[in-house]
Amino acid sequence: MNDAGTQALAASAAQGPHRGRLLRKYVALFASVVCAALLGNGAVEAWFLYREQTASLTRIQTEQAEAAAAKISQFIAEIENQLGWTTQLPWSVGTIEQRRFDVRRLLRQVPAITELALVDATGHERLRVSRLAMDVVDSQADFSDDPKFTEAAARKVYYGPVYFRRESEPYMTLALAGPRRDSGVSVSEVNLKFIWDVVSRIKVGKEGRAYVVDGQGRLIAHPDISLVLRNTDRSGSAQFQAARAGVDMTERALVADDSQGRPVLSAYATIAPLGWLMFVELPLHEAYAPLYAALQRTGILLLIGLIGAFLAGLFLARRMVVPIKALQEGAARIGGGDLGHRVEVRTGDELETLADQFNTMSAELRDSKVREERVGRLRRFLTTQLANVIESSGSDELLKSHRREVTVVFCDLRGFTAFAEATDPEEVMRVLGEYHAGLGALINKYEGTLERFVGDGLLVLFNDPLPCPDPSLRAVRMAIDMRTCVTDLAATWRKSGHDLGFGIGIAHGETTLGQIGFEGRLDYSAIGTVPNLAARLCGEARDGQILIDPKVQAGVEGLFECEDGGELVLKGIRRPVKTVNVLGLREASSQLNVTT
Amino acid sequence: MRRREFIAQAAVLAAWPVAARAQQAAPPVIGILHSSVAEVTRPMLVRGLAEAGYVEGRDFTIDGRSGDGRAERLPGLARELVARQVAVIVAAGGNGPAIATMAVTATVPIVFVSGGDPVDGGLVTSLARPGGNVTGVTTIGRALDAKRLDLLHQLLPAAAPVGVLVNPAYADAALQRDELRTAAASVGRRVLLAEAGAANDFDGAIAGLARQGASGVVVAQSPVFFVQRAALLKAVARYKLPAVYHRREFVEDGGLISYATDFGEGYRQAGLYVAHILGGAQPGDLPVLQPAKFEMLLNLKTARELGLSIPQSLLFTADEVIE
Repeated sequence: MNDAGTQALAASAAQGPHRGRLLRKYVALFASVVCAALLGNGAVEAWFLYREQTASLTRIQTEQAEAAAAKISQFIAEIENQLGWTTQLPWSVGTIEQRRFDVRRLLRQVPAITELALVDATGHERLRVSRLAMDVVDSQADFSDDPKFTEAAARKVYYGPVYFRRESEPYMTLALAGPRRDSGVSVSEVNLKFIWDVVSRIKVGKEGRAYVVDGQGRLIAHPDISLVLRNTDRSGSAQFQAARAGVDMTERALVADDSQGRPVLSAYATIAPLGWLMFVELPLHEAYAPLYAALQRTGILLLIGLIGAFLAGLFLARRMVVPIKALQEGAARIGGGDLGHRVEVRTGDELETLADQFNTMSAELRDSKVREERVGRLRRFLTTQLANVIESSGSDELLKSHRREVTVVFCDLRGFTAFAEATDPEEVMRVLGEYHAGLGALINKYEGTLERFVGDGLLVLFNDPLPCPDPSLRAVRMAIDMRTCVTDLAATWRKSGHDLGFGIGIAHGETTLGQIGFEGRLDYSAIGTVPNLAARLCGEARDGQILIDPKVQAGVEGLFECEDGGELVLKGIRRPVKTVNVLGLREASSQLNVTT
Repeated sequence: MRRREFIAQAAVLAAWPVAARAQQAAPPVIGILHSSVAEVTRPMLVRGLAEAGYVEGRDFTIDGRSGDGRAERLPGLARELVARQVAVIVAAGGNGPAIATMAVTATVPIVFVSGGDPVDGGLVTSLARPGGNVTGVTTIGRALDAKRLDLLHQLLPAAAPVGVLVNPAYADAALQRDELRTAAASVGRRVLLAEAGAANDFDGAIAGLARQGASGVVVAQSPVFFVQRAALLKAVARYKLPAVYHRREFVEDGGLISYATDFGEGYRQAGLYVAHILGGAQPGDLPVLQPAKFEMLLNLKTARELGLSIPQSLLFTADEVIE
């Protein structure tokens, strides 16, 4: 992971531009699912309740209206029945006193009749008895052209239109003809206020009303008698229009306004034989009270559901968000380099699996980093191949302290110290860079182990830590190539005015090898006479010389053109060393190649 | 709304009217202006109010003013009630109190209870829609005077003159006299007229009628006669005259016959109307109520004492017979 990515992750973990979004989503999702379910259920319930309530109320109200209408029909029929007693006698028999007695008894029986007139068969009034005025005998008032008489005579009974006495009290003329042609007609004036007793006794719910209108829509009876006495006209009302049009309200509820303008559920029945209409009405707020109660219940459930959904959403989201935050933070810390951090998630679900994978990943990252560091360290003194071999072997076994026969090559530049002092540092470093680059490539080529380099001096081992069958051969061949390389470089340097020579010493023998140094700075090093001897031989070598000791010479006997280098007494070496200077590769051994 | 809050608020709402009434410093005052004795109005008026949920003392108080049969006192009493800022004035005992009150105020609601005709008397122009600040109950008292004469006529020997007792202070006294004369003429009888305005005058008036040969007495509609009925019945009994009255209470107390609507019912209905008005209704929107029930009472005991035989046509058509 690069630095920018790490920072971004760390930043997102710290500030969290998306912080809480998951929480909100979860809560919103839960709430909407629960609400949708509850609302749907509530709506369906309310709809069916509405349908059933309306249907049952309409049915009940229609039944009530029919029962009430029947009562009013009965009320009229009763008056008719009583009137019948006054028409039994033909006018040819009986005295007027006898008739007056009959009429008075009738008035006592039927309080609704305010006035009664007896008309003989010729249409002339013979007796009038009123509750409000004196009796009138034989006024002979002519009824012969009056529908009260003609209609009654023709059809036995006549129901006059509703009229309002003194513009206030509703009345109706009810005339009845006797069974015989000569028994005449009884004309009664019926006070319809008495129907009030009927309608006021009809209980329609708590606030419901029953009322009666005549065929013209005028109010005849209403529990609020004031409305009747005020001669209220209901002909414009929707329910009257519907009833007049013969709409069957049992099939479809009729919602209309009552006389106070409140919406009501209305049902009606026709009052036979008068053509009046009985309306039974229930205020909507009462009719649909169970519906409103159901809606309120749904509302409360909705509220509870919402709270529940909110809490459930909160709980679940927290269960999600806490481990996710832990992962987020872990990612940020690992990105920041804390590879030892472990994400602790114990949810027992996919999140825990994810966290475990995350931990595995960070552990692998840590291992990989450690390995990379080691490879980097190994590379400094081993060839890349060797470093990889050691790395892939997975252990430092090869680098453990041990003794082994090795060939040690030591080389350095002649005149470098003077050059370095006299030349500016950039130039020195450039020259040294070219030098190292040239030699480094050769060390890799011959698979030597660069044990160390100090300034212009290099120490290269063969046969360790990886053994090779022909260490000395490789060493000498590398040395020859090095000499060629440096000779070429020296030619260019010389053009820059730098006079630098190059000498190599090679020794072979058993020596101690291992890691030296301290934690954080460990070098793989050869200790003992052999590297010392190689260094000394190098020191003795003149420019272009490759001095090798007898053991090396023994290893490459006959393969190179050599010349005697003489016996040298070397510092720190007890006995003089017989040296040979390698001139070059023999023709015969030119095919000799080093397996690379 | 939370359920508990809702219940609490509903409880508060339910308790509110009671609390509101309790908090009022003083309940509204209902004024009664009666032409003679305000107290006769009171019991049934209070019952009507009670039926509408108004309790005396808690929801209203009553300030009754009586004219003691003196019409000239009514305007002053009406002014007093209006000055007291009563909520409603119940004007009872004929049209007089209502007319006096209407002269004083055009705003204070007036509920009349009168036997007189409210349209003829100028109280309202329409029974259905009274308009203004006036409504009430008509007991159709005066309109029945002729009917009463007719009843008496059927009990009396033919051709004998019939006496009529009228209170000259009654607002419709003149109308009563005319109507009764016409009614008597229609049944072929002569009318002997006597006037009495107070209890002291009763004996003299009845004695005068008896002396002139009256065979019976029609006691015309007047609150004074009702209030002082004990004295009147005593005078009538002393001269052994059959008499017809305008309220059932006369017959219950020993009078011979009565034909009337129920006045108590009228006061009860007035009480309901007062409750309506206290509840905010406009008096002009309340139609004048008319009675639908008329009853005839007959006292057979009195008839026996007078030696009268009651014809069957009356006996069997009476609504109530007192033995």
